[in-house]
Amino acid sequence: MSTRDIVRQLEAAKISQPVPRYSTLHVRLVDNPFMVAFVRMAGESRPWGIVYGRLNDAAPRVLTAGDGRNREAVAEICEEFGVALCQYFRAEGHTFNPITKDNLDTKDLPQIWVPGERHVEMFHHLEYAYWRVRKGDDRTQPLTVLARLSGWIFRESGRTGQQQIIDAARALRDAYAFPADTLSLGNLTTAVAWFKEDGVLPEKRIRVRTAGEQRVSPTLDPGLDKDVLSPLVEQRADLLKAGKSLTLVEQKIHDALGRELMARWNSMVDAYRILANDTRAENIGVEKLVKSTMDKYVVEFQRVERGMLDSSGDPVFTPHPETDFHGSAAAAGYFRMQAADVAYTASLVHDDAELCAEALASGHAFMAEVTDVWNTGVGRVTIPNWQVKVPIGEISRLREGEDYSLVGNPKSKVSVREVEVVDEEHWSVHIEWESPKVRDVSGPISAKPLDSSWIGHRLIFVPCDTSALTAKQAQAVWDAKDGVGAWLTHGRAPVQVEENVIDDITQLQDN
Amino acid sequence: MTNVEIDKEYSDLREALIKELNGSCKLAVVQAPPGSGKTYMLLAVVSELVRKGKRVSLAAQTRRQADDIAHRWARDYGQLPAVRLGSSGSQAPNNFPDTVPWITELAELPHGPGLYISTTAKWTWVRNLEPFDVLAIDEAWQMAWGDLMQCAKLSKKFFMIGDPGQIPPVVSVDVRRWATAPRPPHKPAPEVVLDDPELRATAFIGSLPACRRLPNESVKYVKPFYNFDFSAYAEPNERLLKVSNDEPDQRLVGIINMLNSGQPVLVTLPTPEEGLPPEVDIELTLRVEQFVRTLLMGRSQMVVAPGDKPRAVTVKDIGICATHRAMNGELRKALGADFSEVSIDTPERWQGLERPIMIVVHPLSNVTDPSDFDLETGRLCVMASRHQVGLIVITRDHVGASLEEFIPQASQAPGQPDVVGRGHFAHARFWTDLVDDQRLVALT
Repeated sequence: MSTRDIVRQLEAAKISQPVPRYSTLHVRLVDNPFMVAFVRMAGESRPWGIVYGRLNDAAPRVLTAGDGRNREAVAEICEEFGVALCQYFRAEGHTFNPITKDNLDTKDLPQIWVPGERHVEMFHHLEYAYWRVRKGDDRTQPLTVLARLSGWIFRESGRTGQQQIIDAARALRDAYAFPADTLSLGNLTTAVAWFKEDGVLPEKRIRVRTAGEQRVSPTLDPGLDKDVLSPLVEQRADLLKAGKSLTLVEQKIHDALGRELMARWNSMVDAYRILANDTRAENIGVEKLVKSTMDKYVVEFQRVERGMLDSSGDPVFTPHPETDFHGSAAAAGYFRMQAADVAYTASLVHDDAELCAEALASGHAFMAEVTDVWNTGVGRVTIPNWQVKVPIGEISRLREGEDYSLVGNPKSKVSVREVEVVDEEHWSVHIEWESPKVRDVSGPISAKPLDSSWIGHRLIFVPCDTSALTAKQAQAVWDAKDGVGAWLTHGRAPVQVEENVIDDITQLQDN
Repeated sequence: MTNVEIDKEYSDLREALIKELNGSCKLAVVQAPPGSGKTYMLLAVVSELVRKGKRVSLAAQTRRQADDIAHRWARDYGQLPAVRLGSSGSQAPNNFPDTVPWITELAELPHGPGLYISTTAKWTWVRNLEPFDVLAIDEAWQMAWGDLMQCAKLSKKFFMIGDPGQIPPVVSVDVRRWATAPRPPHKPAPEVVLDDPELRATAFIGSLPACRRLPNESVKYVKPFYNFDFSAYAEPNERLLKVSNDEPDQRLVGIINMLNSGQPVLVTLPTPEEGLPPEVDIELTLRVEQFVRTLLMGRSQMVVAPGDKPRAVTVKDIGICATHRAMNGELRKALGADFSEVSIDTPERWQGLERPIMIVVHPLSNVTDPSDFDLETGRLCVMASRHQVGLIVITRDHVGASLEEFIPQASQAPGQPDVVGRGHFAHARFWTDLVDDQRLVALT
């Protein structure tokens, strides 16, 4: 935990309330998102019950199976959920107006909310459960599509800055500092209770702890499982054996699970409303993150679905639920994740004073006073150069050759040419302007970099957005496949993978 | 192992590498303990290949390392052709050797035999170049497999040499997706090769026999970080460090004189009852400053190499290392202008460097509940293996108890090695070895 985190936590403790973590919100709150929560039987990975719907629906849809171990019953509820999810995501084959590269609009961002991290993992379980389901040659069978969409959701959830899958507990933790430990805040009801409960810290802690006893994980409370649901499931099995009606007992199971599902649903809705009522503005950089999220959705999910709908029956690349067995696919995916990580802070830091302060405290950004301005360009070429003074102790990440942007100017780029000690308090840093060279940049003043009126101003430089370069590495991995050293780097891995998966790789390379 | 045997093993390995890489072998991997002459071996092998008319590209992991290799090449093999490929628009640093031209445009690269030095980052962007005969990779355990993949067009043959105990490539994203991939893109390239039975079968694999940097008596403390054995090249009692006894703080004098045995010293400060400071531990920084002051003002004398006369310790002989950048910033402030030439940096930046005397802040000093990141062995291994004469490890005194209470969760993916468990073992072993050898001094 950084010193800034501790200070924020102390501030929260002082007023017995969560306090804003940053100056802006880093998440897009769509008007009427899709929300879903799961419960599962102990020892099972598939859902036993699902609650889903849109935030503004009169009531969410609650689906349960009589027995969480019954694959057919579970598949039935998953299929219904899958169709609704695919329709909401405007997946190819599920709507007349699918999201495509041509009609992509960031206002149409499909966004799915879940109560916490374990619910995100449920999508991974769904992918594993149904990715091989086939009915003849039909590759668009609803459960298979659900598996592919679930796989996409699970993989995308790990990409820094993505805006499509919102883990409600995490969204609250990211937006606020709580007077509590991070572990307890993994439970959404605990996080929400910090906003809903009144009182000063000691009493409030007790009330929050009591509220947090309501689980929101897909795994049910062991007491409820043992004392309420297990007897009902046993009763159902006995009735089934005896050939008697299951209606009543299944209704009881549905009611018990429904209460649990609704508790999860309500916590999610509370979390959404807390964020929606926050007076902070959405960070300007979020728009860029949304665009990137939707681009990825179209390229990595919709394109696959379009291929599946193709009547030619040609194989279509589908990522394996476990990992990328193909080396190039693995490396390309890794570099895309890295690019997203670089883009995240670089997109947001220009519009968030707190995030900027955090970057300063961690040494990723630096503050400097301009001491000299000169031109090294020859003839009509302008190359603005600055000498800046940086306090010692705040500079440890600053290295020669690294690139930064002037805060508030995301497209600006300066390169550090030389760092030297001037006195016991300061470093002197020579920076060269790469972009813009002759246009104005804004800060305490708005002027061209070569304008000497910058002298004396204290400015903040933040890491440059190099995500485009990192993303190019993903392509470079594929491009190198025919190199003379590819026998080592791009050879077939020792793990046996289904032939059709390997064949699909050619399509990925072609794209 | 005697030094004669070590020298023979070293030269046998060099000859074998030259023969293999000049012949049909396409892949050589050499693992090396810290300060064992990795770069020396690399250049010795590469120079022979260049003499035999080969074009060899060399990938260093940082610009500083690439420049250092260029200097060493100019010094030891100046008559053989070499170029340093720099980034576009860059200029050679001051005092860069004239015999190694600084080139920034690919079109200006010569075509003949020689050594072509650059960084991995630069090589990954190179396109449309006539393939080299060999790609030699220095500090290869710092190069991720994904980066090596981009270098496939560079060469058919690969020669990797590095220290497996050092810090692996930085991973800032969620890599669970590739935890069980046959060739994980984020893992060190040589590790992927050695973990893959097919690649391993095609490779020439060797290891350097001895650590030359550390005092003989320090080597045993870094061995638990490695899964292969190695010896100490320095003879027992070869290195020396002594500080004058007329310094005011006799406790510090006593601690510094303990370094004369060649073993590290573990210095603890009480853990505050109100809890540990989060990032910057002011009391520790003041203690470090006192050690530096005592070393430099106390007319300290040291011997680094056999046959050397004792000489005074200077600011350039001392290095300081802490994992937190904020802590390093505070240390820099505490030392002030008088000691501005004392190198202070993170373990990541200390890789490949050495100093006669190192003062390091234990990576768990401000951590009572270590995370996977904290228990990664590379940082402590780097910190414990930079010194030629003496090492002071300074820390809060809870570390032994915190390590004892810690239970590794084995949360790795199925079938994967328990890296955290191994890290916990190595950390605990380092600590207990020092305690058992009575190298712990508790300051109040």
